[in-house]
Amino acid sequence: MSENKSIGRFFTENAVVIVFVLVTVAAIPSSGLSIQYIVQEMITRLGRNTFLVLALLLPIYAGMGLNFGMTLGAMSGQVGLILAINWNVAGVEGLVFAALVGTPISVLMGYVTGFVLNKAKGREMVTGYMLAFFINGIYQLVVLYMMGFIFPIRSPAILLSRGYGIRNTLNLEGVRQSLDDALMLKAGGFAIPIATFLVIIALCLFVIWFKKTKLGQDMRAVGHDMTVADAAGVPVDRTRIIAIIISTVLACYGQIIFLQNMGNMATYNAHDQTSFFAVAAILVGGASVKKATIPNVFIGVILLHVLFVVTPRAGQNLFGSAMIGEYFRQFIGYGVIALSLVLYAWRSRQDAIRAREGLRGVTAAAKPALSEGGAK
Amino acid sequence: MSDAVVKGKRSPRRLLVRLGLVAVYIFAVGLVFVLGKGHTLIVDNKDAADASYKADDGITVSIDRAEGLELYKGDRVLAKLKGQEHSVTVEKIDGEKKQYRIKLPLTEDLLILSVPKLMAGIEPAVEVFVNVQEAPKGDEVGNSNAFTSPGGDTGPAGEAPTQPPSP
Repeated sequence: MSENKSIGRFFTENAVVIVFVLVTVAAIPSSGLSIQYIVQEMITRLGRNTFLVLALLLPIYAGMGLNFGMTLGAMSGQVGLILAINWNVAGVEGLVFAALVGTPISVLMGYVTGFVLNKAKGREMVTGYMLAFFINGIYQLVVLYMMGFIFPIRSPAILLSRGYGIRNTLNLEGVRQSLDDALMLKAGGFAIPIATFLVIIALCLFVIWFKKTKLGQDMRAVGHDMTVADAAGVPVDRTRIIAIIISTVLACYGQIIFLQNMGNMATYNAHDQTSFFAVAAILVGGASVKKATIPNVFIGVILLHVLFVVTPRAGQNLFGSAMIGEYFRQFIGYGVIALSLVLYAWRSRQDAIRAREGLRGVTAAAKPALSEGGAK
Repeated sequence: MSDAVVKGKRSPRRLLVRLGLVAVYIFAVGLVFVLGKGHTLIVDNKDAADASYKADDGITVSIDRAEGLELYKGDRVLAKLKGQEHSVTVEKIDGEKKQYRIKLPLTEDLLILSVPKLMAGIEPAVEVFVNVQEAPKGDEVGNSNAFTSPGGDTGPAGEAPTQPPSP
């Protein structure tokens, strides 16, 4: 009986991952893509997306859920890239320049997000999501109207013909794949961007180290129980703000890595789906709103992107239209987030019921003992 | 608030550390800018208008360690460069090879290198390139294209979005 329960529990805890693995495995043969091609795509996409997804970890440790406010960091990175292109700073130096320019902006954005989220405790995710829309408006105002009008832009190639505002699509030719190509290993028919993976590994090591520091422990304490952490002398609000600032700065760097790999930038839309796909990836990897690990990130990125690669082709082969695959990957993304949130809420309720039952069990067991004691 | 925090905030040492960090940040931005500044160099192999120097017919120009650019008389080729100082190796058809050093101005993006001038030792061999066929700017566009592109700003790709992108 208990074995059945534990199997059931395993399935409910890993429902998202299991559903994803099943769908992906079913879609691979229908896609007709070779394993070599899929593996190469995964290597490329791991390098492109993992940094962004890793940016979500610290807010989860701090109990702030999935940081939809990471979009603000992505916008900061884009501003850095616009200026790098404007000043024609090329290569890896261009990326570092963009990161250096984006850092203070993302720190400020992170502080604003953390401050707002502290005013909306318990509603962090939806608040972060809405805040991203609000800041998106400011971003559009700055990039579409102020750049070239208030902030000088020297490169006419990135300006709209009217003389101010940045073009819809920017060609990142100067920095295109400069990090990936900095140290490209070609082995066994695969091209592996070693430099990008070294950056990702460095971030993983940073996360592991950070968790062991005093601040990292404070974050876990705050994530576990804010009231207890506060009573223990942990500055709860400050710790939460720091978690969001670090996450936003990492999102800034992640977006720069993402865009250098893509090679061009949709100035007004590139950041829209950043948090959405990062959140979907980490949830697909088996993380929840309260718990996430580094392996969740890697598993999630691989699973989500295998599906992204194979579904358009599978849709084409099965139904004669690649668009079905495109629709499929859109609703899979949203569906995963919804399913994960529903499962999390359901699991929390189940845990609460189990805890209550446990408490009753203890009381029931204690009663006879007490009555026996009383009889004596 | 504890005493330590109050002391920390007033500590001149902390202020100095913060100022130091700002200085390091500014230095890093400047350094990365100088090291990564890109230039488009037009490598030119044409005769002078006043016949003060003559172009060679058939040379190979290598900039730094990049692959050589083959230029015949009257040719122009684009090269993308990063940084300000570069070595230029010119090899003639007869095998004669000479190396030169050029310095590009930091803030200029588009420059022209006259190889005949460089070989003749005439300064400056590198000059800022001014595109004489540059498109008219601002209002001129609106006036001259009043019939062909009404509204001006709401063109196809590369123009302003007609409405803000939906989230």
